[in-house]
Amino acid sequence: MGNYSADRDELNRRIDEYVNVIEEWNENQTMFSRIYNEVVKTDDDEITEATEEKQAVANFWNGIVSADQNASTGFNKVTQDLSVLSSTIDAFLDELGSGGANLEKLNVNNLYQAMFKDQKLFDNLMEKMLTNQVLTPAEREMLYHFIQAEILTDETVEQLEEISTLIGEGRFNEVEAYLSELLQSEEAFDRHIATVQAYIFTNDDTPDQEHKLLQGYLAILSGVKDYRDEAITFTGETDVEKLRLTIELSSRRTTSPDNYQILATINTAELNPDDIDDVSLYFYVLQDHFLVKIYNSPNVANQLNREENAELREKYSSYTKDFWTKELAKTILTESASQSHEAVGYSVDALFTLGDYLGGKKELENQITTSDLQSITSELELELLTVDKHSSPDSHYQFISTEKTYERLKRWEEVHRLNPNIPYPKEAIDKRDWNDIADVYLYLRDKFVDDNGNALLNYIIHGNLVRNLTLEEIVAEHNW
Amino acid sequence: MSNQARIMRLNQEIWRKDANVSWLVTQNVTYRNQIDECGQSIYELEKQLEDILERRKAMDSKLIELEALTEGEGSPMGRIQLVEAGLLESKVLNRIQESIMEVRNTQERAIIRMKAAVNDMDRKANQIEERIEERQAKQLHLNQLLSTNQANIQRLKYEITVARQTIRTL
Repeated sequence: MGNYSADRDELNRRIDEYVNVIEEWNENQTMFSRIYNEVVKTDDDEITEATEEKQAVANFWNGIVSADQNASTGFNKVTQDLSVLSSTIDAFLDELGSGGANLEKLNVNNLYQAMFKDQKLFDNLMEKMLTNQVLTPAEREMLYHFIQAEILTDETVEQLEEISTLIGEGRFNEVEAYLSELLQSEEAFDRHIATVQAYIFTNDDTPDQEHKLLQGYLAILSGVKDYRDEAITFTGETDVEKLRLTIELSSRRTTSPDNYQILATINTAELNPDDIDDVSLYFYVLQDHFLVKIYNSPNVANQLNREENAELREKYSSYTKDFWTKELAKTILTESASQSHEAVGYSVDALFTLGDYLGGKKELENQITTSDLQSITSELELELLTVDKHSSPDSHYQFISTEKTYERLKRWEEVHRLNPNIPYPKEAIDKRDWNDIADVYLYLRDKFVDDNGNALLNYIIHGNLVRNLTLEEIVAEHNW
Repeated sequence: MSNQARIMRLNQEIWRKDANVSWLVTQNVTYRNQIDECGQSIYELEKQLEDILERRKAMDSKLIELEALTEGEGSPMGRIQLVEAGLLESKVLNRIQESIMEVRNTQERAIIRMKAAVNDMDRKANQIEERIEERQAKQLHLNQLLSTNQANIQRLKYEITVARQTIRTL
């Protein structure tokens, strides 16, 4: 939210500037034309164009801030001069109420309009969700509000909160029963994945335990989905009910009370060979296990170290961003196509894109060594979620940022400001792209080793100045 | 020639000269009216010229302001940047930025038109100045005709007075 606020303020400032320049232009040009009214007529087109620009900015803004009370206060201010130009915006602001008083009753259609009216924006968002791209803070904010308003119902939110509680308390029987029922239908199960993705799609930079547990739960669901799809392919059995998929969940004892582990075992029931097209294929579908580990701070590195000493794992692969949103994007596209939005035409195109994507494109993954993973989680105070799949040597990881992470990033930015030669991944940080941030951090750590007990890194990590050095001295290049 | 015959000839001369004076007086009234009209016209043209020059000056200063506002990348309009890598990124902002570029093009075209308008004002001012000069020349000519007439009238009146005195003597 912090970064989005900065973006919003900056955009507000620029829009103000633009509005002022255009007003000054219009005023001067109108006066010029008035002085010379017999020869040059006032060119209404230009003024209209500028008005359209303001309208476009305002529309965009509506989408971003419509359900955000804090933002709406600032929004009212910034759009005051924009809104006088448009009765639509006036109506929208009326609806929003003073200071967002009517936020709860906000007409979602307006949100739809703001988002879907702009084909390019919508396409862009969907494309980014479907491929391995990171959303900008503004896009994320817009999408977050859209999802909150349109995809999630009170009922689903309540249900997911309950699932999270059940997992947290180790009451797996109820979750298993719920999942067994869902597994009877491909569509219902995929829809559930989309709902979980929608729920954990948050605009909060530091997710709480409930969200982290649901991230782990989602990783399991995605594993189950892959398993189910494999079972369908191998057995040729398209009726999932006949596959009689079962899932068992249990929590594993962890070395630290701050850790959380869920083990999921998935299985198919024995099938009648007559029901399978090619009996030999039946044996491909074996039991599989997924182990989800959630490493909460502090001391993620120590916990990881202890685990790794036992397991001797060398590398982890990152989850791609779309892993957490793919089903959600599909749902949004399907929904928008099924409803009578203006977006229908291009939603269908986007669905084709999705088909291409699922059919051919390979996901891009980062690989990281265990020691680097330990170093980054410890030095940037990141939390970690890892998933091991029994049937594959791959272990996947996902960073989870904490408040302390942002303190470190702030100091990192400070040293970069003092000496721009110190690399700082501004863009990646703005986009919360932890894999890229980690890459630049590792580069910084390896290249900028100094003779002063790593004073530079020490400042970024701990905020301390060592050996009576000033910050200016630390960032001076001859010290590295 | 008998006195009677001389008196008759002098009376004819007086009558002719009187008629001539009357004609010259009437002609002078016309000249005076025309001179007045010219004066009025010059006054109006001078006012028009003053107005045009004032407008031209004002237009010029507005044009300078508009140019300063829009010309070059360092101008306030040139600096408008709603999109910035890593900070403000979005296709919708890109599109808005593109249409801002179109506004800039329109502004450029408008400035060219406005420059032409300022030149047109110069042309108008020159035309008015020429018309004022024409009027002034005409006025001068009428004044010359008027004073020539006036001189003729005086001469004729003198000659008429001399003729009348001669008649009385006879």
